[in-house]
Amino acid sequence: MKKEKKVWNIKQQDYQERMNKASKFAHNGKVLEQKDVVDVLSSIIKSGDRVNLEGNNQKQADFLAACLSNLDVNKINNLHMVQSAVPLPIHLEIFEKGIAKKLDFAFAGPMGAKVAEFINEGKLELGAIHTYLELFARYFMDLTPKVALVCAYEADKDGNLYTGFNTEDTPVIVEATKFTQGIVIAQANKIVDKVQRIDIPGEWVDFVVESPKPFFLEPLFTRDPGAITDTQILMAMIALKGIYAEYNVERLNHGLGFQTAAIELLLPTYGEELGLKGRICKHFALNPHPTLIPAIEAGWVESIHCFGGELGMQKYCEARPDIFFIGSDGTMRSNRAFSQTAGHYAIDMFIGSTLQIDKYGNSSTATSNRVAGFGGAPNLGCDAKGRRHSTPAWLKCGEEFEEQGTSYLGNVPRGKRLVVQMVETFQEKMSPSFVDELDAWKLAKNANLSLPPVMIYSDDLTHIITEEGLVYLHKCKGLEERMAAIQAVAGFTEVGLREDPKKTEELREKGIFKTPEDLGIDRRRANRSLLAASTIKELVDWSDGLYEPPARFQNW
Amino acid sequence: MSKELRTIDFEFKSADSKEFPKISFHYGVVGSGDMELIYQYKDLGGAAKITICTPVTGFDHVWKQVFEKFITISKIGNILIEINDNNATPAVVFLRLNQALKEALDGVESNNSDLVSSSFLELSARERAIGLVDENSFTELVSSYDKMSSPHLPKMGESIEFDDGIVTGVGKIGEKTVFIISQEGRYIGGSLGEVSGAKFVNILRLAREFYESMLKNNPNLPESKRPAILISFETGGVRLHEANAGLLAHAEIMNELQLNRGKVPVISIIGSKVGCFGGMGFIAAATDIIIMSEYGRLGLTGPEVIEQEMGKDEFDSTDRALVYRTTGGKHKYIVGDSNYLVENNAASFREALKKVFSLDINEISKLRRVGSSEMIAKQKKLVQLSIDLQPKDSIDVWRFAGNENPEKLVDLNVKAFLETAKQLDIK
Amino acid sequence: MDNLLGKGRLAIDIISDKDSFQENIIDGKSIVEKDFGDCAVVGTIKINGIEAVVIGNDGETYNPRFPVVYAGIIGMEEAYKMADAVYITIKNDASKPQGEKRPIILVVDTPGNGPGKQEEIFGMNKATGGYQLALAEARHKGHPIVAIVIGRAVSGAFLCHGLQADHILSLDANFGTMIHVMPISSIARITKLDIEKLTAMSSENPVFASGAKFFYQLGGIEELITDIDSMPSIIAKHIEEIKKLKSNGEVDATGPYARGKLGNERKGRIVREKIIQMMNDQFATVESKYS
Repeated sequence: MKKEKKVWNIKQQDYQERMNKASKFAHNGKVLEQKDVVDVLSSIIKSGDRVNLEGNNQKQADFLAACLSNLDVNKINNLHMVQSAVPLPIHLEIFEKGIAKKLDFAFAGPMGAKVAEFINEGKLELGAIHTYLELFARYFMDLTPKVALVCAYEADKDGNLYTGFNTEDTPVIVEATKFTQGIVIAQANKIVDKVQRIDIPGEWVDFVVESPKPFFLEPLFTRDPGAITDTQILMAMIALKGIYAEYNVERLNHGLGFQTAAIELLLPTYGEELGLKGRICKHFALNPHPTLIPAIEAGWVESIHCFGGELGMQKYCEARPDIFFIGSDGTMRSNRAFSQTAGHYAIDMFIGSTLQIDKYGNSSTATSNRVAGFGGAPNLGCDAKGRRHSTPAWLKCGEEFEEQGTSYLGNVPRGKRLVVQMVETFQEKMSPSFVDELDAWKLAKNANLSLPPVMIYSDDLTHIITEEGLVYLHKCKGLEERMAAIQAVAGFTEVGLREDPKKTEELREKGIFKTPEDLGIDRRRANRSLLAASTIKELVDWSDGLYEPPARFQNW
Repeated sequence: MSKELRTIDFEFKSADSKEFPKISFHYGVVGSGDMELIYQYKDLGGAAKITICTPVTGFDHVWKQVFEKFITISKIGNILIEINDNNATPAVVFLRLNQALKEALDGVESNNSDLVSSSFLELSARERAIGLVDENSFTELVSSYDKMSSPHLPKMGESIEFDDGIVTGVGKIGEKTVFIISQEGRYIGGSLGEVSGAKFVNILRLAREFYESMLKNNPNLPESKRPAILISFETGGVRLHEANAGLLAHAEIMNELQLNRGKVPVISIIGSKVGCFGGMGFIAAATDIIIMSEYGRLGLTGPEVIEQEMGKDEFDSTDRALVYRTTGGKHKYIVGDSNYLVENNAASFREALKKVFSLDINEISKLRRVGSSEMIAKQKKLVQLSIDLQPKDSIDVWRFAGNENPEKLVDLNVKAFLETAKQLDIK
Repeated sequence: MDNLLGKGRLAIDIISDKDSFQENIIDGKSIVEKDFGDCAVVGTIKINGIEAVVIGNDGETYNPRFPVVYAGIIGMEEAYKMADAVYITIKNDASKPQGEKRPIILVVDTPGNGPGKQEEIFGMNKATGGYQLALAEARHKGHPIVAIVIGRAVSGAFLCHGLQADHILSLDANFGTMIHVMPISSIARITKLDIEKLTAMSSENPVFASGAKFFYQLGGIEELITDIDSMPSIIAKHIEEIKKLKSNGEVDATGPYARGKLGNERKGRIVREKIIQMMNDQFATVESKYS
């Protein structure tokens, strides 16, 4: 066969061409002036390019996003945005103006309704809704960015970046882009002579610019203990006695809701009383939750690796280098890709909250008109099929798994991740948490999605906690028993009203359903005086003044 | 959208019912998403009778299920249950029913010493009233059991509370009789309506009449036996649903404060979530003594209104730290509006009260902010300072008062703050 | 003339004998040293030959030192200026017998208290609280105090300037007077009840409605005035009535407490009396424990 002569460096040539047009704007090494950024973007971006705009549920390359939205739509349009999150109005403006057309993402948060609306109006073509880790994977497969717009705390003239506490997604994005001959531009809060730590080497970055103001950070993981209710405390007591103590859960992730905040704040009080210290909650993959401070200070926690930083927690984390991942410069480094990997493979339990659980046990935070995405939750709230190492908690859950024997495994034992959902049977405005059909189905129809967006599938879910009690779903035999168990904890919702008291009694006898009383919990004690800290100020006090809460959370 | 309040009645009987003890038992606060109840013994042939007053419609079958389950499990009978609900979910209702029953049957878990030492911020109006006076000395006057709730709210679909959001009574601190008013911020923001207004006003009168009758019996009444009035504020002022009555009650309160001067000292206690704002802000200013915790806030105009008036750049109402620097306990202590700054517990408020009670009435009067032309003259100097200094932030005033690192004061704990902070000295 | 909104100075001229108004002067001496409290007007007038101290709002100017104080708003300076006028009157009349204390006339047209940052930093609440205490003291000491609402009497500002009077008079709604905590549209927004329903409800329950008529029913107003020209004679009439009511040193015969009773008589506030009675009865049963 005759081998055709083929050019093998088209991408390199393309890179050079684009850079030739843009390099004149750089002065002092790789530094751009703010006013030139739109021109630079115009020079390096072509219509239809795949562009990554850094931003997740925390830090945002907001200045570069604004510059991108100011491109001339007649010259540059139909961009394919690949980005972790679209939580800012400016992200949607880029679609509104027609500069971008297609979107692949993981999380839309507050912009969820707008995303759905844009899909319907044809302003936005949805690629897929991913998990963070899944999207990162595709950056290295078929969704490689041509241009990446990222953000950092500090940059120097050679392009070295310090992303520090909020390193988050930057390494993944830059690596995928740069090693496929793409172009990387970073906005930095400050251009400095020497960055305090090189988180991203300068060779991987083409331009840097000092942003007019520090990048936007959302304190998404700050829960004011003042807003924790007695019901949430009761459920936290159930969780500690019925799951943490039962399985000796050492390695885990907590969701960001008030439910898990309540658990964190009960560790030094109720947890201590149950004698759980040293037995549970030793290793976490999670953002630095301020509500975890009392447990850390009381000596419960051995290590925490963080997806991202949390506003106000920087100093505290730096002052606890035995616990957090700290660089030789003394500051923390987060990394979403690694932390998600840890959360997928190395935790024994995921525990979090949701909006809706259906009668089978599938859960979703989707509503009929919001395409919000689930971020990292599905990778944490699932049984990692590739896992091969074992821990006591994982083994115990596997042993209890009723369907194990009936699966294709034959007599081969296997462990199972504890996946726990905590919901009050009714949410705000009397909307039921247990439903016959998830709103995700309506959303799939409304936004023309190929699947209803499910956050945690029922076959991964092992436990549900409500104020009624706790069910061990993995101990159920067959779908019918599982549905009966769900009815038993579904309280006075339509699903719960279908409960057959006789069946529930059977489930109690089998140890599948446990009420607070079955667990030996005194309901009178379910009140706020049980919290290790009942205000943000008390969290500050626990931290010896190291935690610096954002102004909006201060009440002194 | 919103309709009138409605009442729903149920009756259940458990086969082998246990009789409720021959008592009445009140529990809970009608906060948003919460409820209160009164359990009361009544011979109903073993049955339980339930009356719920609620703004919720369309969930009667759910209520029924909740009570059916509660009665079936608890087997409680010969009981009258009255509930004021404010959109509590079935989960909350079930929790409260059970918590209350347990306390009614087994006694309350917490005791007075818990109340005194736990976070003042967390205490309900009733707990504050009880916790501020000596153990077992508090008598509530016109209590929840009298069910004097607002006659105006039901038509507006707004939940009622048996005490109308205010706890009034009398107790002892040492040998001193103290009259107490305590406002409940969780119930419609602690606002003042016709009922709560009348309760407030009459405590002030009752205290004066009590003092005058004591004096009549003993013209040489020792200072230590002079009664006092405590007001634990948690309010935004007038209740809009019955605004006119609330406004007129405010005027009556001010009238009584003036009449009580030199007779019965009135002491403001401010350390609860809602703070003390609106008309109640100037009621507090007109009392003899103000004691605040760092969580307390005192002012006239709420932050949202200031933002609306001045623009977000001048005053961002979502900046809680700014809001607290402007009206919080620490600032009010530095400018002299608060006489004492104390830790966030009833014990510390009681400590400060003991200091106040060691003074005679003339010394107490000197600690007032307003109430004479001399005091007004001093306040006018503060107004002049406002013009001269044009502070952008309270921090500027703290610096002017001689605090070298005023920013640092914000996060100091109370003890360190009191050791460090310099108060504004206006001659 | 349609109304006197914003025209506090004109109203003072209307109620006082021709050319009798002496601004800032009480007993021949100026009580104001410099530019101070521009939105408040104080001074001495004669009404039907009776000398009185007058305190009003000027809705047509602003306070150049405090940007949120304009259009009749009572700021810190205004409140202290008003309080000064009261205290000086009390002091100068200290030796006069009960029946000869000078009347104080409050001409009310104010939309609010200073809603600013400086005001909160330095304590607007003290200024309005201080003024109210001064008025209460003057009333208790025998000065007849008549408030006349000529325009806006809104919420806290009305509490500050008006509701401490012995008697309160108001021009009726035909003159655009506005007595309320909040307009009904805002109440509708907060209570989520529609305006039509609220308006209908207010006709049978005056407790939240806006307007002088409803305040009258609640006992908040002693007399509604239907004719501007009759203001001086009606004010004079009330001064005499008040003197009579207070002649034996009775402090509850007029003022806020008396208006509470009036509210009961007029069926506007009927629970108030019940509560008072109940509390007194309950206290009587435990009083000995506390004596």
